[in-house]
Amino acid sequence: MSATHREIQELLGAFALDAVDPTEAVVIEAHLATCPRCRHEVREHREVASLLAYAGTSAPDGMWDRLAATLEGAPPAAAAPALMLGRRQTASAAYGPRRRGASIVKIVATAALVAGLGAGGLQVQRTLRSQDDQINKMLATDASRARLLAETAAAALADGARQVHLVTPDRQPIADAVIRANGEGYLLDKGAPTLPEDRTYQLWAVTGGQKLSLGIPGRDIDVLAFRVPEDTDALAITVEQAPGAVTPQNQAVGFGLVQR
Amino acid sequence: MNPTLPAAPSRVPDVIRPPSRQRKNEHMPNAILREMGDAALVVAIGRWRQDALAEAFRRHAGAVHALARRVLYEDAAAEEVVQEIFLRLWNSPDRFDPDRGSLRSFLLAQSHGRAVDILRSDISRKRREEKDARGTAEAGYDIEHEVWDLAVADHVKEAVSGLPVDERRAIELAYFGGHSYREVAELLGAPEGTVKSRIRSGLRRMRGSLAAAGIGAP
Repeated sequence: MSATHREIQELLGAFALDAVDPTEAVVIEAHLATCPRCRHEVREHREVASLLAYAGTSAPDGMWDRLAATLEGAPPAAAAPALMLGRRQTASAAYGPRRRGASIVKIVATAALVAGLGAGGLQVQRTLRSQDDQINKMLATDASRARLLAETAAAALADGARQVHLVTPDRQPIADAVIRANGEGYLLDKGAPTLPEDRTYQLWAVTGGQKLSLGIPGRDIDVLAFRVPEDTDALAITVEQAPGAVTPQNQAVGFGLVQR
Repeated sequence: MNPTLPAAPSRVPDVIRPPSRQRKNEHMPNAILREMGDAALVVAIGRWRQDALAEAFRRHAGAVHALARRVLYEDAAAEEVVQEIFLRLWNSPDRFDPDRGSLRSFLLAQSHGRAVDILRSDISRKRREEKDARGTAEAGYDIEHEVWDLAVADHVKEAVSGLPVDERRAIELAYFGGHSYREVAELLGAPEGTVKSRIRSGLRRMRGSLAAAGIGAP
C-alpha cells in the first residue's frame, strides 16, 4: 500500500462530509475510480451521515408544487417529441432528449454491472459518463468544476491513461497529471504555494530538447486541462512573470516523466 | 439430426421491449408507486415519470430540506437546494448509482455538498461568520438534537453518545457546521492530521454501533 493510498484513506471521512479542499477532492475522486475498497468506505461514511441528517419530517407545504411548476417549463418535462421540435433551438432543449436517452442506457448499464453481466456494459457506462462530463463541464459553476473534472480524470484512469507525478527539485510533490490516450490531460494541484500577483505557474511539455507551453494555470495550479503532443517525454512546471512566457525563463519547480 | 428448435415467440415479450416514453400526465396508482423501491423509482424518473419524482420527493425531500436548512440556517436558501437536488435527479437520474448506496444517502450527500458550496461562496461568507460567532456563544452544535427519526433515533443517539467527545465535536463542526477539516482543526486548536483521523474514526465507530443494532447496513 503506497503512502498516497494511506494519505487518501485518512481523508475519506472528511471527504464523505464535504470537509476537504476542492483540490483534495479531485485527487480523492480520481483515486476512488480505481479503488473499490476506498469507494466502499466512502459509501459507508455517507450512509452513517445520512442517518445523522435524517429529520423524519416532510418538506414544508407548497415546496413540491413550486418544484412541479418548474418542471412544467423544463425541456425534459415537455415529453411529447412532436412538441419538442419547436424548442430544439435552445441549448437546454437540445441537451434534454440526448441526455435522457443516455440516462436510460446508463441505468440499464448500471443494472447490468450490478448483475455481473460483463465489461460491455461498463464500457458503455464510461463512455456515456465521459460525454455527460463534457456537457456538464460547459454548464458547471466554479464550485462544482473541480468535481466534474475529477470524473473526467477518473474515466481517463479507468481507460488506462498515464499518470505523471510532478515533484520539486527536492523531490516534494507539487502536482499530479493524468493523460488520456488521446492526449487530453488534467493537471491537479498537490500543494503548490500561491504565487505573488505578478507571477504565474506555467506547464510545459518536454519533447526531445524542446519545451512547448501547455497552459498557464495562474497564481495557483488548482486544476488545468491541457493537451500534449504524442512524443512528450516529460512535463515541467515553471514560475514565470505574469501573464506567462513563450519559452521557459526559469528553472522548473516541478518535473515528471511521462511513460510511453 | 438437428434438434428441434423451440418455436420463436410470436411477439416480443413486454419485458424486453424498449421503454416507450410516457406522457407526464399518466399516473400510476399511488399504491403501486409507494410500494416501488427507490431504484425502480429512479428508473421511472428516467422515463420522465413526474409522479415517480413526486414519490421520491415525498420520501426524501423532508430530510434533504432539513439538512440544507441545518447547514445554511436559511429557509429560502434551503428550498433552493431542495429544488436543485430534485431537478438534478429529474434531469440526470443516471447520476444515482444504486451500487454506491441508497437513494436517500445519495440525495443527502448531494444536498450537503451543495449547501456547503453555498456556505463557502463569497456571498455567504458573512453569514457563516455570524453563524460561527453564534455557534461559539451557544457552545456549538449538538448532533443529538438533529436526530429525529423515531424508528432509528434511539440507536443513532446511542451511537452518537458512544463517541469520544473529540470525535463527536469534529464531526459536528464538519457536517452540520459545513467547515473543512482544516477549519475544524483551527476551531478546535488541534493538528489537521488529528482532526482527519477523528472524523474518520468517529464515523467508523458509529457505523459499527449502528450495524450491531441492525441499522444502516443496506
